[in-house]
Formats: sequence, structure tokens, C-alpha cells
Amino acid sequence: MTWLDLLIAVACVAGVLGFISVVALVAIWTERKISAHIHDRLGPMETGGFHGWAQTIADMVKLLQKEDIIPDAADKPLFKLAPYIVLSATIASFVVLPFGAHLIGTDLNIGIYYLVAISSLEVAGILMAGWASNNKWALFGGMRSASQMISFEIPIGLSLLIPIMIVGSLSMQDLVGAQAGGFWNWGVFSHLPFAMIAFIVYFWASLAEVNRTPFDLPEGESELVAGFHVEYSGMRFAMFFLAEFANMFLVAGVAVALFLGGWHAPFSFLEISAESNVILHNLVGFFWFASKGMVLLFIQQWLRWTLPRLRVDQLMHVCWKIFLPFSFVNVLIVSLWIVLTQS
Amino acid sequence: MAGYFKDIWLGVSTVLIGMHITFKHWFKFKKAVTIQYPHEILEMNERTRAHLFNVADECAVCLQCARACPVDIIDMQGIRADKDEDLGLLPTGKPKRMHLIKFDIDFSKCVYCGLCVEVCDTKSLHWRAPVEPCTFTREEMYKSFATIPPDEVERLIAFDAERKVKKAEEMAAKKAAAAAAKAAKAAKAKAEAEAKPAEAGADAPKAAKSDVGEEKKETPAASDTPEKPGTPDSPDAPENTPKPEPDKS
Repeated sequence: MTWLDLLIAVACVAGVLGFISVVALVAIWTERKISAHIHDRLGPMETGGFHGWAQTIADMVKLLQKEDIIPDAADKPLFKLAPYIVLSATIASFVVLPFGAHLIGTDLNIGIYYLVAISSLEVAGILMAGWASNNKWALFGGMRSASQMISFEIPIGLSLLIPIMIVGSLSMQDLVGAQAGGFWNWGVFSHLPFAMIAFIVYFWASLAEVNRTPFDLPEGESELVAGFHVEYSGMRFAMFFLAEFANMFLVAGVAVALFLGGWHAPFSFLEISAESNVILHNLVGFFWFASKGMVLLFIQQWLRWTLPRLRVDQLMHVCWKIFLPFSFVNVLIVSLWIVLTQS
Repeated sequence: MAGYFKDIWLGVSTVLIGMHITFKHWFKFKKAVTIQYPHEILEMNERTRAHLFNVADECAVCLQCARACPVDIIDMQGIRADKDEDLGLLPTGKPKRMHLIKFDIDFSKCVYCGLCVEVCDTKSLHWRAPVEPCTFTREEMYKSFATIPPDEVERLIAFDAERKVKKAEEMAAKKAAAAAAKAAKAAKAKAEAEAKPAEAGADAPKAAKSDVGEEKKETPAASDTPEKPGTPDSPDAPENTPKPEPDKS
């Protein structure tokens, strides 16, 4: 490994971290504004002048100054380690997210597989946080989180299998490249309606994966105070928070990359070809990817402020009795379709 | 099996209905229920129970409020108007007889119990919608409702003192006259007694009795001596004016 490699790696991580922070800041602000407007409120209006845009930055600065409290009875090494694991798993997942034709940390040939695998590491971090806090609510939250994340991995994996089967590759750039040339070529619209069902199942299951309402049982404020991060304060809490919002964008990004054309524009004339200007091509690709991701992010927030929280048994019912059979039937039909049309 | 698909359909459709409702609130957003407080202040009912206010022109200076106050924060003083002075009518229909020269409320101690408002006969002391109750110093919590300008107050006090001196003089003159009359009477009686053959011991107690009577008569005049200028001379007013200023400032 040369110096240059190291420098590129550091630049990559710094870029991803910067992007995550900006996305989290924007997403937390929009979350506040959307929730407020859905409730006929106004939300933050003062900080920063225009509609309180700087509120999240102010909160971040506040969290940086807070004391890092570690409970006496906590398992200290695990307690300290947990937020790092959650955040680093999130950052590691961003490495294979294709923001543009060349804007990708590394285009692994098993990219999506790597992503699903590495984002499962988060469960370990959350369970660790819940266990190490030595608090019954935190432990409940951690256990719920682990159970629901592991359960929903299965429908997520099966739904992601649909575009993978259609394209025939696990590489993110291959998956995105197969959807070029207008929105009618996007993954959702191939093999109608089965890829569409896969997309919907993926999107809903991903809400459970990132602990969003209606599947936010791990955090359930009304029952568990704050769930697994109840004992965390200051920057460690901020790391969980950052990871949560970054994960929201991550699952949205995966949905965009696999089902919604990735960095391709809805119409091909809205793109700039790589031959004419590589930098501009990447920037426009980044714009489309980020805006599609943001739209999905908004839908996640919209759902959050629409639906109440499910019960644990309802959650498991949705996963094992609805999403799972649908995904299985989907995989069977699509594979049959591919076998029949390709031979 | 039909129930299973029905459940799924119910789930999906109700989610869509819910999303439609929230979407309407999100984008067809007309007026927020939020009031951006320092920028816009809610219009309150005129007599919302929020802040005390006294209308000086309608105040009878009966001191009922100062008496009712459980925390003794109403500091008021009045001066009786001159006989031919017209101060207008009170809301009760009676003529206003007192100048309100001081009506201070220390809101930092107010418990907002409303007892003072309840006892106010003329309803001059009343509740009012909030004006910003927050202040930067304690002194600003000390609010004054008397409307008479300070030089006028001085004039009234001087006038009152003068009137009292005059009255005291009058009283003294009266008493002197009465005493003189009594003395004359006593002298006359003595002369009569001396004229008659009587016991010598009866003289002394009689003289002492007359002295005591004089002293007793003089006491009310001594109580409203001219040294205390602010106190009005109405029978119930002077003793009940709340304690002097020094402990407030």
C-alpha cells in the first residue's frame, strides 16, 4: 500500500463522512419541518434566519459540548465501543453506494452483497449498546432492534434478489448501468408488476431495518424512553443519531440504485454524456442520485408522521406472514420468467 | 385465504388514506396553529386574569384592596379633596372625594389571588390582558398607577399639611375655649363650694378629674399632628396607609 492509496482512502472516508453529516443535518431539519407541517405547526423558525435552517447545526454544536456520561453500572468497554460500531458499519456501507459513474468508493463485484452483510453489523452495535447500558429499557430496545432487524433482513434480501436476477450481477455499477436510457428502463418497471412488488416490500422492510416508524419499536419513546440509546449522551448519542439518519439515506440509496435508475436521469436528454465532460457527467449523476434518495427520504418521513407504531406481534406478523411469502412467490415467478424468456 | 388478502388490502388502503390526509396537511398548509410568540402576541380577552390595573380616576381610595392583599404589596395613599373641589363621580354614582397620590403594586411579590379585585367597590382595580410581565430588574416590577404628577402631589401634600395645621389650631383654640369655659365653671363651682361650708378633701380629686378630662380631649388632636403631612384626616384612612417607603426602595 503506497502513500497515495492511503491518501485516496482517507479522502474517500472523509468525503463519505462529510456527505453523511450533511445528509443527516438536512434530513433532521426536513424531518422537523415535515412533522411540523403535517401537524399544522411551524417547527423551528428562529435559528439561522430562514425557517430555522441552522437549528440542527446548533443542536450538533450543543451535543459536542455535552458531558460524556457513562453510567457506573454500565459495561464500560462495550458501552464506549457500541456507537463506533454502529457508525463505522454505516460508513462502510456507503463505500459501495454509486453516487455517480465514477463517484463510488469502490465498485466491488459483490457490492450489494457486501452492503447487506456490512449493514448487518449494525445489529451487533445496537445490541451491544442495549446490553452494555445495564438498563432494562435499553436492553428491551436492543433486543427488539436485533429481532426486527434480523427478521426483516430476509424479505430485504429476497427483494434485492429480483433486480440482481434480472441484471445478473452483484456489482452496484452493473446494476445501475442496466437501467440507463429513461425511466421506463428502471428496475421498478421491469417484469411488471413483480419488480414493483419487490420494490415496495424492500422499501417497507427497510423502514424496519433502520428502526423508523411504523417499525420504531426499538426506540418506542412511549414505552422504552428512547430504547437502546437511553443511557447515551453527548457525542456518543450524536453518533447513534447520525447513524440513524445516514442509514435512512443508505436504504433509500440502495432502493434508488437497484430500482430507480441510480444516478441516471428520468430522461436521457437530462444527462451529460461521459465523453463530453467527465466531471459534469458525475456531478449531474450525483444530483439525480441524491435527489431521488431525498425523495425516498421524504416518503420515509411522511410515513413516520402518518402511521402509529405497530405492536411486536404485528411487526412479526407483517414480516413473516406477509412480506416473506410475497417475496418468495416474487422470486419464484421472476426466476421462472427469466428462465423462460432467456432460453 | 380470502381473509388474509383482505387484511393486506385493508392495511395498504388504510395506509394510503392516512398518507393522503397527512399529505393534505403537509402541502395544503394554510395557517399554522403555532403562534410565534415574541413576534405575534395572541389577542386576549380584555379582562383576562393576567395582570392588575387600577384606573386612578375611578378609585375611591377606600383602601379595601390594600387591606385584602395577603402579601401586603399594595402601597397606596390618598388625600381628601377640599370641600368645594369637584373630582367627578365614581362608577358607583357617588362623588369622588379623595385624590389618589400613590398607588404602587410590587408585582414581584404578587400572588395573583385576585382578592383585591374582588373587594374593589368601584371596579377601578381590575384584571387586564397581559402586557409583557418580564423585566430585567426588580425595580421595574414595581408599578405605579397614580396619575397625579409629582409637583401636584407636592402641592396637595403641602395643602393637606396646611389644612391640618389650621384644623389643629382651630381645635386647639376650641379646646382652649372649652377649657377656659370649664375653668371658669370650675372656678365658679369652687367659689360656690368655698362659699358653702364643705369638706376640704373633696377639692383635690375634683381638680384632678378636670385635668384628666382635658388631656383625653387633646389626644385625637395629637394623633394627626401636622408633622405627618401625607396622611389624610378621614377617620379610617390615616392609620391604614401601608408602611412608609424606606423598606421598598
